[in-house]
Amino acid sequence: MDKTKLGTFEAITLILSFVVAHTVLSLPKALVDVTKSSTLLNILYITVLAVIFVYLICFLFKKFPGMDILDISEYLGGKIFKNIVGFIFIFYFVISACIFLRNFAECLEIVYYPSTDIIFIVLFFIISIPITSKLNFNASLRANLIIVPLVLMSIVFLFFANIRYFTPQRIFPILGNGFKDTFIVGLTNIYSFSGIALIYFLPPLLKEPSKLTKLSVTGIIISSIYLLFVVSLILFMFPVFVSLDEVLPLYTIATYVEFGSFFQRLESVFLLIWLISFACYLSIIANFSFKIFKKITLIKDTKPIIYPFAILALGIALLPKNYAISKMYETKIYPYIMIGIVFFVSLALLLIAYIKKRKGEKLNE
Amino acid sequence: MSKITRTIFIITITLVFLVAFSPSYNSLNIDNLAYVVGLGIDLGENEKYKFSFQFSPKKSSSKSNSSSSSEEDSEQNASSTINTIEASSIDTAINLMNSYLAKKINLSHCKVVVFSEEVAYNGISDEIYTLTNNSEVRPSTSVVISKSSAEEYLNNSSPILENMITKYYEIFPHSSKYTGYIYNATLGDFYSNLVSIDSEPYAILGGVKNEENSELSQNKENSISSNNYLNRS
Repeated sequence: MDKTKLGTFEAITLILSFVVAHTVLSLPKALVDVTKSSTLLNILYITVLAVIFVYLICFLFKKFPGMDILDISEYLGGKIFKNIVGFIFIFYFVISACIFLRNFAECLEIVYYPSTDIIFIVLFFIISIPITSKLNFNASLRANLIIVPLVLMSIVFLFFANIRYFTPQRIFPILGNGFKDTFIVGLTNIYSFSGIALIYFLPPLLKEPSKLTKLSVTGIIISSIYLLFVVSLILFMFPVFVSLDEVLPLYTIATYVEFGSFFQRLESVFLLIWLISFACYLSIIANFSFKIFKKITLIKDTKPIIYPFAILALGIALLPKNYAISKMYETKIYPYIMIGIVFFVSLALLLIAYIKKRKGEKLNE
Repeated sequence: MSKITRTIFIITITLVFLVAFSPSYNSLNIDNLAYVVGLGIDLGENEKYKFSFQFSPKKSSSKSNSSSSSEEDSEQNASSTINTIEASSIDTAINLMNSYLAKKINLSHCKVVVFSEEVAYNGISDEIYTLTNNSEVRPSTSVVISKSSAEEYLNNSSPILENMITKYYEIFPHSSKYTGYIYNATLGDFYSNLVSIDSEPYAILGGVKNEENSELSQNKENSISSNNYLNRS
């Protein structure tokens, strides 16, 4: 039985791995499409909101030490309710990861493997699920601990390497399409902090559960700085009102990096790092899905379900008919699913459980 | 899971990937690709544009035939094939060429994009967007506006001091480092300035001299005649 406990850095990189995987796809472009030139301001705004939200959920979790969202839902509504919540999260994690995988594979096909069948490219990533799941959860954590800082560094490197192409004036008008678009419509951009979903499952996994607030807030702030770098790259290099490359915007930016005649075509190196980070993201999703499944079905060992899970993931990834459909999920449907599950359903659940606990305590007194 | 099952699983997966990514499967290798080194765009007669694709020189023959002199070798290396086609856009032209050639066109080694002056006067922003959106085209590709037709420019660009036309296209804008007659105008810069609110795009103004076109320089060698800032988008 896997009794792996997470250290502070490991937990922070776990939160970051979600954001990193999404930014490799078209997240930065999607953010800029909503809020145009005010995206940087919008990110600062949603960061403040996300930090407040994280503080709130960490405060609520303090009432339930060592419990995750599933334990709390069991406390609130019994086993059936726990199963419903568990399946909602599995659905959210698996569907999103598989569709993102499809998008990433489609982009890889366009860029590098135009003649290769998409199934083989998807399989290349799917294979990482059984391999890492067969190993200890520690393997995924360690790999993630190495690769996430590498991705962060690659983005900082991209930022400084492309600085000569920047037009900082593109930040103006500072409010983009106006106050409403930046602060009200732009609220939906909070879905970019997808790592918050993991915080609901972290308390029982932490070596030091008392550090939950600290590591969650740190994770969100680092994610925010990372997003600022990525969005700055897109915003300063490309005009927001001109539709540019729908295929991996960061890859397009990486093609601009050149140092003299010796170091050219460095985008392959970047893509390799992003590719590994995406495989890490998939393995983390798989591991958390197994943990949830184990908790709701009370099975002793998750190893027998690893292969069916991998095949299921392959099937879901191949489900969209084409790139347009999978991209539509990523940009039009996913934000609302994420906000609905992570920001509304889970918070409501925590709040109700908190009130119930408080009432129980008062009655006992 | 038993050891045998695991071994079988690993071998199966390895085989699947070997087959999937091997060149024989995806048929995308150097033998199946036609590398474009220069792309010329002129006004067409029946269609909007006439596209000239300059392909990399054919492979020189094997060692057994390498008894020819170094001069012949360099001539062979410098020679390249140019095919022209009329089409309404770059993508259409590429598709038509793909169906005409036995190989798939690849722009990842395209070093220069030449627009004729007439095309530039009509505006080239659509073509620049198309090229920028193409994941094969490098932002470092040079953009040239030719006083003569683009086809003529590509046809007559035969370097004297270089064996390879690709190398010539790559290094000729480098003279901007020591002369004021030329500017290293790349596709990335051109696009960046095209969409910028506070700058204008510029390209290299080029031209070649041939017997019929005596308006240009009288020099016998084919060279970039001058550079100029082209304030058109």
